[in-house]
Amino acid sequence: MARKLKFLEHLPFLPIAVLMIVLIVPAFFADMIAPHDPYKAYLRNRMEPPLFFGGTTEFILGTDRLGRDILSRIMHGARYALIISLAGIVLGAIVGTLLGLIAGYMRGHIEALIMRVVDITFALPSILLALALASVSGPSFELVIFVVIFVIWGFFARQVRAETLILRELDFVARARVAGASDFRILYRYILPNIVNTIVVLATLQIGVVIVLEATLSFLGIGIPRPVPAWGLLVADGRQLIVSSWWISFFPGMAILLTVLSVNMLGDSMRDWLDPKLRRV
Amino acid sequence: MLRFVLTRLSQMLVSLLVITFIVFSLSHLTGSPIDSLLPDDATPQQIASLTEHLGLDRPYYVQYLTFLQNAAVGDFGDSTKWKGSTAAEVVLERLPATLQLGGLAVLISVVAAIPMGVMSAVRRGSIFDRMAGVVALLGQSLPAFWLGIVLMWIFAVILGWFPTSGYGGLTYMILPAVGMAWFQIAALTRLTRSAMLEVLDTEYVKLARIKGVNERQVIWKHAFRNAAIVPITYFGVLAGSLLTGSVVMETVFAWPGTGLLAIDAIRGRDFPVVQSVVLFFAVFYLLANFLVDVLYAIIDPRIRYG
Amino acid sequence: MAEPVLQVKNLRTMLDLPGGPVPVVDDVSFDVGVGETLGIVGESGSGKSMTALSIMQVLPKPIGRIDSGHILLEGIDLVGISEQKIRQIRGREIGMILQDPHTSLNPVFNVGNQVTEALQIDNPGTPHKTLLARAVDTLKKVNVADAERRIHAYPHQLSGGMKQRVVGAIAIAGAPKIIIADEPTTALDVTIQLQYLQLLREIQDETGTAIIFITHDLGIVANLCHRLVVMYAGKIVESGTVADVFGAPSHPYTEALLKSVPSVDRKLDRLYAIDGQPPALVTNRAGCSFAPRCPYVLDICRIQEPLESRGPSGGASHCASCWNIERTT
Repeated sequence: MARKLKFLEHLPFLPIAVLMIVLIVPAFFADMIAPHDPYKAYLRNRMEPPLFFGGTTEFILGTDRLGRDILSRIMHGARYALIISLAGIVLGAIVGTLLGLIAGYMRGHIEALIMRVVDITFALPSILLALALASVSGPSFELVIFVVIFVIWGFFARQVRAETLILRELDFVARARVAGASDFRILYRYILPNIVNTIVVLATLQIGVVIVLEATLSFLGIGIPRPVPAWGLLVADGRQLIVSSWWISFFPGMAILLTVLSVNMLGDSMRDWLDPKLRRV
Repeated sequence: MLRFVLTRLSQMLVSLLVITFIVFSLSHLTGSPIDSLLPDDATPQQIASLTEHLGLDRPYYVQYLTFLQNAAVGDFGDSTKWKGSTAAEVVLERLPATLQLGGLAVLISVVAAIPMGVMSAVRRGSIFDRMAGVVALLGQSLPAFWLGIVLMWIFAVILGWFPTSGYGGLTYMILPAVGMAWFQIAALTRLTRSAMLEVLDTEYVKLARIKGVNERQVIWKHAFRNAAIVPITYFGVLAGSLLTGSVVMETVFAWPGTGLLAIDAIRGRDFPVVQSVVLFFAVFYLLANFLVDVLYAIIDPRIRYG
Repeated sequence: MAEPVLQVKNLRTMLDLPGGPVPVVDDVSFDVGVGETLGIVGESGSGKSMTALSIMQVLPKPIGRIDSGHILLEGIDLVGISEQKIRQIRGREIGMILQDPHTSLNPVFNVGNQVTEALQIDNPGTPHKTLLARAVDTLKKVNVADAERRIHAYPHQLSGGMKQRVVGAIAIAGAPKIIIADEPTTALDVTIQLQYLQLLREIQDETGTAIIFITHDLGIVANLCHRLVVMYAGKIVESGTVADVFGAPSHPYTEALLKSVPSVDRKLDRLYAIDGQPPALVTNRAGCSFAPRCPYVLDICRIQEPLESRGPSGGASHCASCWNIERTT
């Protein structure tokens, strides 16, 4: 309890506030709060500049090449940033945790095999996999999530294995084993609860990486398919128009930057609070 | 030393086999390549003859071995988008542009990050150190492709110092190279700093001072030579993010290298070209990591003789 | 006593710790004569190593600094002189041997490189070949067998004793007037320890250099040193010739240290241990620092710091800081 209160004291309010405004609230309520339909093209208001730069309150952050409202598109894009990163991280964490538990608990050849695969996935730049996959299947949600899982599962597997190795030798696990608990029960009841903190912290630290990865793939046209207003795609929309209409790329990129910056700062304080031993990782 | 090199070489070959197998399997994942090579109204004879020509009627592992054999001599078939050239030719033609840009980016990262990391450690807690910390945090959080566009907007569009995009001399290369280097600078500065802090605290650095060695030599000869081992291992990772960087920055700045080629080939469904780019990148990446290991051994005698 | 090479006068060294500045060397004064060996004795944390680092001015950066006092090398004050000047003193005028040979050699340079570097500082511009030949000579002086081959070895290929000889070679390379040895044998095997002490004595006989030997081992002091100072909590509590101090220890701390040395002649049932812990680093304390652990403690000890007074041995230089010096033990 004391620890919880202490965390509240050190709660980084600024990052949380920024995250709420840029990511969370729009992700859930974009339909209600967005001023315009993100797909609707106001053809008479194409490339309208943002407010204070010659624009009007109608389109606060300006419009794109087709006259679509950039603010509304960013708000709707938040949903995809959130869903993709959460789905990818949750799946990656599940895969990594399971394999890490198995490796750490079973030991032997299985452990050697799993850790070798971890080494190989770490050794492959994710862009190679994304390029190869995209060339076969074209851009898709599944592809992005698959690449995310591929990139992050190894971090979880490595850390979970290391902690399982230690936990399985502890007295309370030995007692459970003597009492006749099955392997599954030992893993589920005794080992998993002790590594949940680590998993949560690792997941938080990965969110920033994953959001940038997703946005990069989308920007390159090998991630989320059009016409979804994913942030990476919004930035790509303005790339050719940077000479005349800087705002088309600028504001969606700002959304990514603010989100990732806040998530990274939040991740750091989560780590200090929940799992100080990860500090040196 | 020789045994060390041979072990690393064989590990590299294993990784390469895994990658070639993945690439090979992917090409068969979404059905037969016949569909994309022949028009929809192709006759059964045409299909049969092409199937035989490509060896698709043979067992899977034979096909893989043939693929390996061809890959070993750089034969990935003809490009379907750039007619009249083989895929390998298309890639090789774009290669110099990527190497130029990547080389400049590495140069910028090292020249900026190493002194910054060392000075941060030497003047720990100073304003300089704190500013380097902010740069590092920003470097981790800035999406590279957006940074590229913003650099273009500020320095090419508003200030007009550089051309916005395209292929050309040094002025064309600066912005994309800085964009590629940015993240590396952040990571490399942080690594160098922490490695230097650790080494500056050791007894042998103390002894070097006691000997009467001047401070510049204490830092750069005694401390840095030991601390450099950490940043050098990072160069393996650096090679990987340079690949990503080249794809991203070449796309942003329309720089006609292999990265942009990969994206164009995917858009044009030119599978042989994508295949050869991916394999080429993989070989480059593995080779870079191999060289890093060897370099590491040269710098640290404990590994060389260990 | 011969003309002193080094005089330390009222030296005060501070560490700027998070809780505020703490004196780790507090009003320390001593002299070292030509060809003399001075022992500095104390527990870990007593300030003996910090005294050595203060003399060399290689205190931990950025928290360590000399607050006040003087360090006179042949009459020239080293406190406050430029970094440039002190660098010329280090290695050439004062050499130093650190405690742990396993960490005090740079792992990425071979022995020859590390020894020639020390030689080069004294003779800039000497051709490398000459330096290398002189490095071999220097290594031979510290009894490194097969020195011609050993100069190509890297530190991790040498034993602890051999590494410490190399460190010794580096220390004598500049033909210093004084060598500070900071617990040079603590990390070595017992048999190697004796060899090493013998070596130091030989070097001294040959070159006439003065030695400051820092240790917690009174047995070594008895064998090697002419005089000693005993430090406790940053202060010198007793000083004098080895004969005087060992014959009539005046400070209760010295007495306790002597009792805790295992000895063949004195048949002890068990080793004597000093009760309590050495004091933690604190900014201000009233009275004598040893008072909480002292068996002869008086009321005044807890209120006022004791003054230095002549020891009971009658030796000219024998001094101790204790209120209860006339006690009967």
